[in-house]
Amino acid sequence: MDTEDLTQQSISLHNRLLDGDVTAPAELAELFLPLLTGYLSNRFRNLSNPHAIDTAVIDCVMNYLQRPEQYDSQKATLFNYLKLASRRDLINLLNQEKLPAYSVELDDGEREYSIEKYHERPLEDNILQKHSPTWDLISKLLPKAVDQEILFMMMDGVRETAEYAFILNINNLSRFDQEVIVKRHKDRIKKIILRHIQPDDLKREQ
Amino acid sequence: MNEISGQTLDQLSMLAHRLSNDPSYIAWVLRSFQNQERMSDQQLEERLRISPRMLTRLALCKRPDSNSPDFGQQITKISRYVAIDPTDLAKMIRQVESLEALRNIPDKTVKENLTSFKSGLLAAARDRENNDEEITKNHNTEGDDATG
Repeated sequence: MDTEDLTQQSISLHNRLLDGDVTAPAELAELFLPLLTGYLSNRFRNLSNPHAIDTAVIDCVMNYLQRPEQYDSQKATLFNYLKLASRRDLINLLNQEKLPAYSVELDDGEREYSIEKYHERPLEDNILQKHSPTWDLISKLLPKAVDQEILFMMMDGVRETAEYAFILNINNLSRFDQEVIVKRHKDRIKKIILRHIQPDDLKREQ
Repeated sequence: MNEISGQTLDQLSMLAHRLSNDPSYIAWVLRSFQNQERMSDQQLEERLRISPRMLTRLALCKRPDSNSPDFGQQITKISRYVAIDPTDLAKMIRQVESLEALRNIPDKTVKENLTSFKSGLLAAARDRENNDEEITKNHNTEGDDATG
C-alpha cells in the first residue's frame, strides 16, 4: 500500500470510528499494529525488553480507539500521529524500566550549530544501523531514549516543533515556549555530537 | 483476507484482552458470556463456530446497541465481517445484557421487591387460610344441618 492509499484509508476508517461504525476498531487495529511495530522495530533495535514494542503499540492503538476525537486530522496524518504516540509510549516505557525519568533540560545558551554541518549522510546511515562504532559512541553520548529519538527525528528531517514537543511531553505549553525548548534540546544534542564526533572519523568508518 | 503475522495476531489478541474491560466492545460481551456460561476460549469458538483469529477480530468490534434501531444492521455487519451466524451473535449479546441488567439492579430494590412479594404471598396465604376455615366452617355447618 502506498502512502496516498494509506492516508485515504486512514481518513475513511477514522471517520467511521467517530461515527460509531462497529467494525472500524478491528479494521484500524489490523491496519496499524503491524505498521507501528515495523516503524518502532526499525527505530529501536536491540532493546533489552523485546516485548516493549508490543506493549507500546498496543497502548497506542488502544488509547486511540478509546479516544479517537483527540486526533486532529488537520495537524497530521493518522499514521504520523500514531507513530509519534507509539514512540512516546515506548520512550516512557523504556524510561520507566531502566533509565531515570527525564526532565526537560534547558541548554546553557552557548553558540548554535547549523543543522547542515551536522546533517551528513554517513552519520545517518551509521546511526540508523545501530551496529557501527558510531552508534556505540552515540548511545554513550546520548544515553536517554528521548535524546536518541530527537536525534533520529532530526536525521529524518522532521522540522515541525509540534512533533518534538510531543516527544518531550511539552505540548501543553504555549507555541512560543515549545519552540524555545525544542530548539535548545536540538542545539544541545547537535553540540554533543559535534564535540565528540569528527567528520574525519565518520569518513574513516565508511 | 490479508495475511497477518504471528506477532500481529498476538498483539491483536492482547489488545482484545485489554478491551475486555470496556463494555463498549464485544470483547467485554465475550468475557461476560464466558463467565456466565463458565466456558473456555475453545468452547466459545465451538459454540460460535468461529476460528481463533475471527474470534479476536470479533472481540475488537464495537458492541452493537441493542436499544438502537440499527441493532439488526450492526449485527449483520459484524456477522459478515467475521463469518458468524447473526442469530448466535444477537442471542449472546441479549443474554449478556439481560443478566448484566439483573445483576445491576440495586440490592435495595431487590429486597423491596422480595419484601413486597413476600407480603403478597403471606396475604394470599392468610386469605386462603380464612377461605379454607370458612369453607370448613360452612362445610361443618352444612353437615350439622344435615345430621340435625
